[in-house]
Amino acid sequence: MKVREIDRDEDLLADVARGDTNALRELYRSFEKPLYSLGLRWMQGDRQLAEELVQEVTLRIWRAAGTYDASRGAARSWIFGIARNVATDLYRKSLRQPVPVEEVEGSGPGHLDDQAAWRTWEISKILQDLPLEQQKVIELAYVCQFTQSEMARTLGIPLGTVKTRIQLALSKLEPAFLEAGLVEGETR
Amino acid sequence: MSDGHLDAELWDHVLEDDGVAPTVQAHLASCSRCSAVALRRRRVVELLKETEVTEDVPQNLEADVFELVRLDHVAQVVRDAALAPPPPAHLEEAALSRALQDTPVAPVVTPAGGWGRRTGAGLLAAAAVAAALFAITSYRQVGDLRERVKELQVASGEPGVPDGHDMQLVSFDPQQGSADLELVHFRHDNYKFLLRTRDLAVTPPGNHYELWLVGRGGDVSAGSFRIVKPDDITFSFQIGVDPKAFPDLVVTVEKDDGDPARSGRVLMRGVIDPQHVDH
Ligand SMILES: [Zn+2]
Repeated sequence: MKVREIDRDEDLLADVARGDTNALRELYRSFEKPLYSLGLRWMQGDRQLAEELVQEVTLRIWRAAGTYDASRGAARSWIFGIARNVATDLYRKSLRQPVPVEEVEGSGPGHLDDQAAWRTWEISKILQDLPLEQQKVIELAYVCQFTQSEMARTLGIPLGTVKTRIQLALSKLEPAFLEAGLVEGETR
Repeated sequence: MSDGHLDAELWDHVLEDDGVAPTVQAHLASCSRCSAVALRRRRVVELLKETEVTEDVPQNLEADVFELVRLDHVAQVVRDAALAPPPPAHLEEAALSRALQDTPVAPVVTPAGGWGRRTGAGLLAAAAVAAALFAITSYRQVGDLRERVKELQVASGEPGVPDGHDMQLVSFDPQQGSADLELVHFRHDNYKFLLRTRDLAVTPPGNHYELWLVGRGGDVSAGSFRIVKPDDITFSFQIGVDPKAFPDLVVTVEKDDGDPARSGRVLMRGVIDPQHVDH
């Protein structure tokens, strides 16, 4: 599943480079939520700055898609790199004063460490690939930290169904995490 | 259980804090493979707990972003106009003959502008405009962008003050998709049309689409274009005549027979509101 998705991003970037706005829209929909989530963390919860981040990153992708070289890395790494640069600029501007270089080194904007930012980006991109109902249970379970019976009530489904959906989602996430290098081990 | 190893039971084990089945516990104690899988699955769950995926993305975000992308087309035209030498302030005829040439136009969708062909002071001013235009992308209110583009043009001392207006071109045949046309006006009687098509039918082989300005003085071709696949594409047309004198716009399907006269079927028709064309 994941492999196809990665190829898809790269195909889309190639179409965007040819000026295809529909491809840009499809690509956008795959990263909007992950990028906005990450933006909120980078911008320390500032929603307006997180929105600006999404706008600016999309424009840069639009303008620079032709410079993307698939042999040098995955599309999502390229987009992450753009996002990090834009976030650094926006964050510095938001402080209204220059940040000494040594303070910024090692950590990204808002002092979110780059490893953590990359993980957030990868995980939220992977979550986007789950069917919507599985996405929902994972978000409720882990992001909102609902108990399974709270989830059953919220979603209006039996407790057994909640358990099945969580397991189903997790068994899809496991190989995707493995492939993205987020966890170690062998593919079964 | 598969190959004697655990699978679903391991998820139960990872997810349930209380009461691990004794059989599972016994297997884990003796099987390094299943222990490793259990460990990895615990890590998957931990990572999910650490991940702060946001509740909801603002509903307007996608629309705002794509309005910016659309305006980026305009920014490109502004860049081109700022870079181009002002057209000679004489002879509509010269402009007419230029407009009559059947010049196919490229979509204005290439991300980078053409910088190479400019020189001297123009280049400096152009660089100022380009730098300034780049800055507008982080401008918060999409609605302010047009104003901002104007300010930047004035600030950079460039002659072309854009004054873009949206107009609707009506599609005759709903099967054929639709298009909007935007008139961008620069001083020195320099006009551009941005024709944005949406899922317009693919141009039949041996034909091309052509945008015409129609007025009492006759028909003036603004240029031709082709749709290779139904899509959302913007074409740019340089207009050498005063749109006030040619207020009707039509898009026709013309044969590739080298005849410059208008003879094809009308695909779309629109009217320029003279109020939108000011000098
Ligand atoms: Zn085992």
